[in-house]
Amino acid sequence: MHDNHRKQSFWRTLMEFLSRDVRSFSKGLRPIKGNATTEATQAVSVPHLIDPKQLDRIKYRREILDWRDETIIKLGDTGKNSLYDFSKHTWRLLEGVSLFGRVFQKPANKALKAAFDSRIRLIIRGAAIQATKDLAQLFSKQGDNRPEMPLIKDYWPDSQLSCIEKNGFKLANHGKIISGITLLVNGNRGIVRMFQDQVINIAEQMIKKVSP
Amino acid sequence: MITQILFTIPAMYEAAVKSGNLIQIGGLLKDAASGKIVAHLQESGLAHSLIGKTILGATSPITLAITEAASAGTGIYTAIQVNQIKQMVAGLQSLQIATLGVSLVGIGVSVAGFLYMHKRFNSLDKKIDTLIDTVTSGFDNQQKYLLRSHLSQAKGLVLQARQAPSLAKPEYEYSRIAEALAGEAAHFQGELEFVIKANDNINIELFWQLAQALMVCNSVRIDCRIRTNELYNALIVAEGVASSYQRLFEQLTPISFNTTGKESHLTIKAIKDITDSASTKPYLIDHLHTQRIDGHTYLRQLENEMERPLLMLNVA
Repeated sequence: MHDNHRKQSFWRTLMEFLSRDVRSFSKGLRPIKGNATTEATQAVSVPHLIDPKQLDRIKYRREILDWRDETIIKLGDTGKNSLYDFSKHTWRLLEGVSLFGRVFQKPANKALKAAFDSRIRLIIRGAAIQATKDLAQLFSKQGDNRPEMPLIKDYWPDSQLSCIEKNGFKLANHGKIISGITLLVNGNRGIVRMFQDQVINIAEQMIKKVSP
Repeated sequence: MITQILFTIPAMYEAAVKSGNLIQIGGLLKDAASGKIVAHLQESGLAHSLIGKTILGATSPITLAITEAASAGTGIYTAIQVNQIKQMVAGLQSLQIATLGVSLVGIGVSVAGFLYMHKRFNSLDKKIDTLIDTVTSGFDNQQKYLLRSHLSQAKGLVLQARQAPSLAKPEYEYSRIAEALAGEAAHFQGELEFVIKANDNINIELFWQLAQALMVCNSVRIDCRIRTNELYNALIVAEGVASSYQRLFEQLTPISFNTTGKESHLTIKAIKDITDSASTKPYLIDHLHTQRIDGHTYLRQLENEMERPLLMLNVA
């Protein structure tokens, strides 16, 4: 009797096993195709195919790119605006050159160094410092595991304005002086472009660090 | 499979987005506290029929600015359509999306319909022809011939997708088309890479037309996979597309183009919105998969929606 009970139990278990939906054996990595579903499969939840934690990376990446592009635009605008201001100031200075000054012309770079530093260099440096602060705010979101924050270097080639050294400081040379300074500041290899390139490189480094 | 999907409208989430309780990333909203996805933004068939004319005529993203489209009562649209466009614009703005560029790749999954995509290729065909001849970007004759040839092939494939429903088993046709469009997308991507690398000042019009060709191919590929309920493959393809856009476009900045000011700024913004939308598309497909939503039914319901251009697919 005990044996009969065991045999019946065995057959019952075997029948239950054979009646089980074959899809319940899978880990659920493949999607369920077709329109028909059974109660068994409806009861089994379908696992996600993608990790939602990657969303934070997508968002952070976008913030870096936005910082990069806004900084590039601000640096470009700052360069243009400060150059315009400098040009007007230079014209006023040239108009005010005395007769003595017209005869014994000072080299333009010596005459304009102070004005260049206060009206262009300090202004652009200010924009770069603000960009660094904005970057620091962005960086702080990475938490304790953040690596060393890259900095925008305050590097100024031709700080002595040798590009206009050979121009005498007189009204007739206003065009040449401003052209020289414009190329120095806003040219394709100018100061603004150098700062912008730094910003692009920093953003690239930061994105590489968050990319899988 | 679930055959009736319930949608809500973007306006319901506006307050939470403004307060910061919900964060917008690409085409989805995420709860700021828990990090869980709350809803996916999804355009309906109405959206593309409204903005279709605007996008078809766009030589650059400048015409995709929200403010430009909102004042689209220039005689092209009826009064009702203008209101619907404003509704769509308001919906996008409430979710902090500033350009219609996302519609090029389809907000959510693309429901542009193969007819619309075919029209897009016709428009691209004409524009690129003129652009290549006038732009000195180093295209040799062989390259020009290949580009025209691939545009024609892509256009032909989209036309075949339009005709597929008349077949007894359209799913095989959709699968074939999806495969073939992968090849076309690869060609346009190669051309874009060439244009980007070869020039310090990229011609913005040529770039934008090639980008559209790439995006349309990718949208239609994913669309075809969803229609055949190959959601896993659609997700893998969508992830690959997102990854390729990130690599291709993240090197572009406001000073990359042959134009400055508003046009280049808007182009970069549109490109970033498009990339983010593509990056979050896999999450929408994943939701369809986990909720056992039939892909074909989902697309049909969206295509038939003629009242609301933008919808929210609630996840939470």
